[in-house]
Amino acid sequence: MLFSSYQFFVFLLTTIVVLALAGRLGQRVFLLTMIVCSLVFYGWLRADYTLILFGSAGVNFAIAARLEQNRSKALFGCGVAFNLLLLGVFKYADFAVTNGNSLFQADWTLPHIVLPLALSFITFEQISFLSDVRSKKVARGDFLRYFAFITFFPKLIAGPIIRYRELLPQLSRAGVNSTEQVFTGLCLFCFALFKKVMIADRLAPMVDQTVSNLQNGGMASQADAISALFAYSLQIFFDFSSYSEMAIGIAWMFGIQLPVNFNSPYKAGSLIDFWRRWHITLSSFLRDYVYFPLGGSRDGLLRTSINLLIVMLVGGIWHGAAWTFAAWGFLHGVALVAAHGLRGIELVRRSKDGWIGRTLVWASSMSIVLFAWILFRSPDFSTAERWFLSIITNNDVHVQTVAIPQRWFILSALLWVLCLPNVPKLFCIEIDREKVDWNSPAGIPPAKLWIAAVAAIALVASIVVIAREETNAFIYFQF
Amino acid sequence: MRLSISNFSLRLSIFVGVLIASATFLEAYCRLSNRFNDFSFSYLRMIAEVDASKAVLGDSHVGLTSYIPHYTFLGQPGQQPGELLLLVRSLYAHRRPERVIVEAAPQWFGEYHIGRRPLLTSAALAPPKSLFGVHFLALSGPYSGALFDNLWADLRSVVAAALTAARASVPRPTPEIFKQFIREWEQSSSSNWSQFPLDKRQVLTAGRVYQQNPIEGFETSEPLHAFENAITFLIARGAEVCMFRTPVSTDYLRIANQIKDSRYAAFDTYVKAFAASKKLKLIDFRSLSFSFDDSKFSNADHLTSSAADAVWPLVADACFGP
Repeated sequence: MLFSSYQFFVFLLTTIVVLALAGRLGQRVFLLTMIVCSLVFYGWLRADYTLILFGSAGVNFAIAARLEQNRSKALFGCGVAFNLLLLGVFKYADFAVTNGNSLFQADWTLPHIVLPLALSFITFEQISFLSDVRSKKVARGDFLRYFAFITFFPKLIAGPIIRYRELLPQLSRAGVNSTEQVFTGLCLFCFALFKKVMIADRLAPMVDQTVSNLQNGGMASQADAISALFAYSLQIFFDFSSYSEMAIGIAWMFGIQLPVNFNSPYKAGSLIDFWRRWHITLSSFLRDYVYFPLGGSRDGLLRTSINLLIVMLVGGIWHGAAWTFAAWGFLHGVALVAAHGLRGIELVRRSKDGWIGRTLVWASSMSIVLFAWILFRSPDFSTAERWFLSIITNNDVHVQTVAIPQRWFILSALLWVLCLPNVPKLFCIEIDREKVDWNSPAGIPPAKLWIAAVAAIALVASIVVIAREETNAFIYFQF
Repeated sequence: MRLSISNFSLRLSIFVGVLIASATFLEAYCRLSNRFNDFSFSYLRMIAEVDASKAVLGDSHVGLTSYIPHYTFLGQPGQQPGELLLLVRSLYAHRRPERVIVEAAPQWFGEYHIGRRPLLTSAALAPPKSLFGVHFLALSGPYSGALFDNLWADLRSVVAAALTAARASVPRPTPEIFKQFIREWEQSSSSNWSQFPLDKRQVLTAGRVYQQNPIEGFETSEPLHAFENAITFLIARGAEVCMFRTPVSTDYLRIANQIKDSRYAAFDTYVKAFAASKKLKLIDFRSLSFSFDDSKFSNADHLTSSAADAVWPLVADACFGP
């Protein structure tokens, strides 16, 4: 069920009413009802997928019970392996067989297993759960709360990737506590919905048409190739950040605060800063559960660089079962190694003091981010190559895939991203996850008067667009 | 606490108020804006409203004018078989067809349909969503699809008009572009002006407006003397003379005020003064009870024959009485 659909509006309204009533019967009834609502949401299209949720949760909870008593490394390894195996079977089976076939000149049949929604996100949440229980950062608690954490529908499909220790304390106070909270959550939802249906979905056809043309062996004009690159950079930002913000808004209706996932990433002063602002919950997961266990930056420059490359490769391949994603991660890894290396040079450090230096660092960092999106969006390397060549060469191509008004639209969206404050800032939400006291989070302050007015306009405009029934699924659903 | 509650009530009221106001504005815009008078919208409205129990269905060979009493003619230019299928399903989903003539012509399967975007789609033919029995056009597929583009275009026009007050903003199209678009228009199968892409219509209209702009000093020119002499001669010969400002498209009127060295306003002033001096009736097409949207034109300043059929009798009535 898409957040940007009439079906979801009805579901959300019903869920608010049902959960408000359930809350009167006690916290356990509330949590149980929330789980049921989440399972309805998850199983809307394929009810059998809920069995995977049950199976995964059962096994992880059992392993956590053992880990609480015995911090066995082997058992923890088994838990991690179980989660990765589950993800591997569903997400990477075709990829592995295809590569096996080319490597061994074999003809193994592709299993064509459909990836259940949310599995990539759940896998990381389960791993962080096992790790935190093992290191005593959080108690395992009872199954009801744990399962409510796993299935909590606002963040279920595409994050933000949350930690059990962030949600568990909130579950005891969760509920439809006040109309004020519901209203603030609704206003936030409206802003994010607008970003999705009015901006991300309008950018999508410009990108799709250009990429489809390139995929079919054609070239794009320089202007179209550059426009499509900017369009995709903006589309993925508006699409994914809007999903995360909708999730934050909906969760707040039930009294639960979720961590912020995007903090104006295209305003980042450097590539290192970009990764502190883009998909923050994934970056921090990779930092805490992959980079630090590998040794982080403790063992010298070479080891730190290798660790960074491994982390970014993991991040790349997590996004999708294709070498283009691995290459995207690797490219970012190399660039990050270079950025860390350059940071140590005095001249580079000093150049960032002036606005010219800062602008140059920003422009070069964003150029890397932009060009890396080519790999991320292209279905294969030859498409990526043609896209890149179309940008750097002046082709005599007559097919126009991005019209002039569309280019103006891209420019407007770009100005929005670079000049306006982001949605979490507008709603005065604490962006730094480390500063939030998850035992008693400050939450989201009531929406201001002008925000309420703008949210109403955003909602009406979005409803009109949704009526067209052409809303695209969120990009991150495929991951 | 009391302050917080009243504060919340205020914000909630503002939210609901703005919600209703913006929804009303968008709905009113869909119903009133000329931009929704294009062929596609009038055709879809026609489909939704007509009694098609007796009908003739086809493409432009059938047309939209009824030539058989009590029969509805639904012949959209370039209609494709897929659209015909959706059309009959939509027309007769809840109504029993009585007598239906279906065009049987080879072009149903013609090559020229390949790559053409159909007008009639399931979304376009879906009835508008309703709330408390009120149909909302803004929530129906075609309106929803065009609403923000049209709104944006109108906003741009308003801004452009405001800017033009200070300086001319519509440039004269290059002869190559002008000729190319004229060729495209002549080669297209469109039966009226609204079926030609809006941006190209505007370019052709701008070209036309520049061509027809009265020359500098027209008030003292030889052609003006000839014009006045002709009318004076008619009056002298006993004719009951009526002057009629002929119809032009909305874009034509707008651009006429936006071109460099526009003398359209000067012409209006002159002709009014001349008619008054000769005690002649001057009828402006805008005073007629007729909707002059682009579907009534065959180009920026010529009516289609069906529109002309309707307009000229109105002109005669306005000039000389019924």
